[in-house]
Amino acid sequence: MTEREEERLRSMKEQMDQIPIPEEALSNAIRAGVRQAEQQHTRKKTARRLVWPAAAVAALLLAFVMTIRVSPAFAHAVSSLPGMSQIVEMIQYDKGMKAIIANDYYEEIHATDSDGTVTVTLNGVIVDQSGMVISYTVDSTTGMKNPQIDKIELYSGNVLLEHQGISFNYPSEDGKMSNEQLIHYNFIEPLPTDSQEFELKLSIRDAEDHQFSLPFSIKKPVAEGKVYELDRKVTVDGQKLTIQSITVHPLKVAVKIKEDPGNAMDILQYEDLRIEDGDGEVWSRITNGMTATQDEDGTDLYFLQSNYFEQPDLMVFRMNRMQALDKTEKLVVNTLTGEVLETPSDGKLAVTELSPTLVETQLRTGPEFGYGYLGSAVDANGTTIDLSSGGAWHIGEYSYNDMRFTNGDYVNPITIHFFAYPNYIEGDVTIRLE
Amino acid sequence: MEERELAERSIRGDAEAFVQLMELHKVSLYRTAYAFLKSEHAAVEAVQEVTVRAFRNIRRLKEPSYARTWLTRIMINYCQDELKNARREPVTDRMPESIGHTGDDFLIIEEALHSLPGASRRLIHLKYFEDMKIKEIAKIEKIPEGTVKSRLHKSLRTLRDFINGKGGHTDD
Repeated sequence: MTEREEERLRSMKEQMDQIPIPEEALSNAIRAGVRQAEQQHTRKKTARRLVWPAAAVAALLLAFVMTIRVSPAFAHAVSSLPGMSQIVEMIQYDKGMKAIIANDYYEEIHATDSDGTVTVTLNGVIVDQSGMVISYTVDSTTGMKNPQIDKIELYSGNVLLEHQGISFNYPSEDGKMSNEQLIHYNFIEPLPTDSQEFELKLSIRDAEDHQFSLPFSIKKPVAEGKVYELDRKVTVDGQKLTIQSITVHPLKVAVKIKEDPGNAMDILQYEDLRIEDGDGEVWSRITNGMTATQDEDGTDLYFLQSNYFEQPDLMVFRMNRMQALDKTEKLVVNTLTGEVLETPSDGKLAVTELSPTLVETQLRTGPEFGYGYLGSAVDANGTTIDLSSGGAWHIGEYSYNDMRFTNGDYVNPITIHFFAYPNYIEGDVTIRLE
Repeated sequence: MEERELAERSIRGDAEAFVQLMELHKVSLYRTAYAFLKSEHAAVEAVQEVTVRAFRNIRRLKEPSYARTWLTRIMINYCQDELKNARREPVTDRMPESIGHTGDDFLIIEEALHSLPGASRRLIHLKYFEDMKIKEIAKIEKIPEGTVKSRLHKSLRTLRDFINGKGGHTDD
């Protein structure tokens, strides 16, 4: 009955099997497809991204920041300098940065490298013992479509400077020919004050790879950080802390705090960590770029806006309110099966995407929260998972945070620790610095 | 690296392994696309689009050894969507490129296949063009084996009726 149709179908298949196969076009289509899939993923949001080295356990960015008033004349004077448009934007969020410009600590440099299609020019740097801010311009003869920065390495002499976090914006992807951007490079070890010769190695991927090597030297001496060794033990709402030290650099003030391992709660964010002077002027936390990190021994390092150039007679370190979460509260997921195994008991957190290389979450924080809130991810064997990057953004009542892993080579399920969370404890800590 | 390992590494997000996995199956995926879309250009485009969809959803591939059937399923879904969209366009756009060198028989069965409902066409395709076993088809379509058999039978009858109705041959 139906054999004839089967026969027809088989002969049709035979004919189908004869069609020529455009091998190369197919290989190209596959490559293009994978690229397209990857781009659709990264294009969705344009949040500032942080590179997370294995050594620095956590870093954070704040999306919502207090603006500092800068007189239009000052802003205008500054923005007329080469490479300063991004820095002018920065000084609006950071008093320390404003003082750096006012005190002429920014140093113009000239270094350029080109591969014919794309040219990178360094405009200037701000260097201290804690890190370097680099202003650079990317010029492209064709316009960038979807530029990604793959590698940022900074060398002093011939030695790679280990970093505890790099913060940067991608060059804009709107096909612009010229793009001015900043890189914030945070050193792990204090940079020797006599360092003068540096080299920046940069690779930018657009349609193809572009490698740049930019040696440069600075003439101004590297400002020496002022260290206040404190080692003061304090208690807030039953949680014990040690304020170990405060170091004042031009780019930032670094506050080292160690929590007592016996505490019932993890303190996540010291929201109003600040330094006050005798006149009531306040230097609060850095709110843009990398604002905190953690040493391998669990000591937290928080960055405040700097008063290095002001040198007030009286300096008081204060804090009253912090985000804290019970140590039993955590996020546990299996990235292979897509299962969410544990979330904090207040029900504010939802996992919105889950794959072996991506965890994306949503947290009900209210509109004013403004923290990236995911910290490190640890696999079932207790090994910290390497992150390629993380991003944070905010829509209405919700904050969002994703983390991308370099690969899927870890053991499920994984536990993700929080770096910030909308749950608070309060107290009063006041320490005079002398 | 063998297929299974490639699939496992792809599931873990390894883009290079995924490219190799696609290379392994590109010919069969292309044939599938061509069978439905009848144009080299459209079929290559289909392979690219299926690559995008598969890579984005790779973690849904629960069983690495079923990579090929999983990819084929995505491809057929894509092609059927494309055909549905194309139906709203002028008919001349879908004129098969191969019209010149294929026999009448080919055209008739082609037309008959087009007349089948989407699910039936899929079953016929998997059975006769992808040479899949009833068991595999049952798994991919998520229906019992017995149902696959009866639906295939019914689809063949529909094909026959269509061809006969077109003034073709009468066998019995």
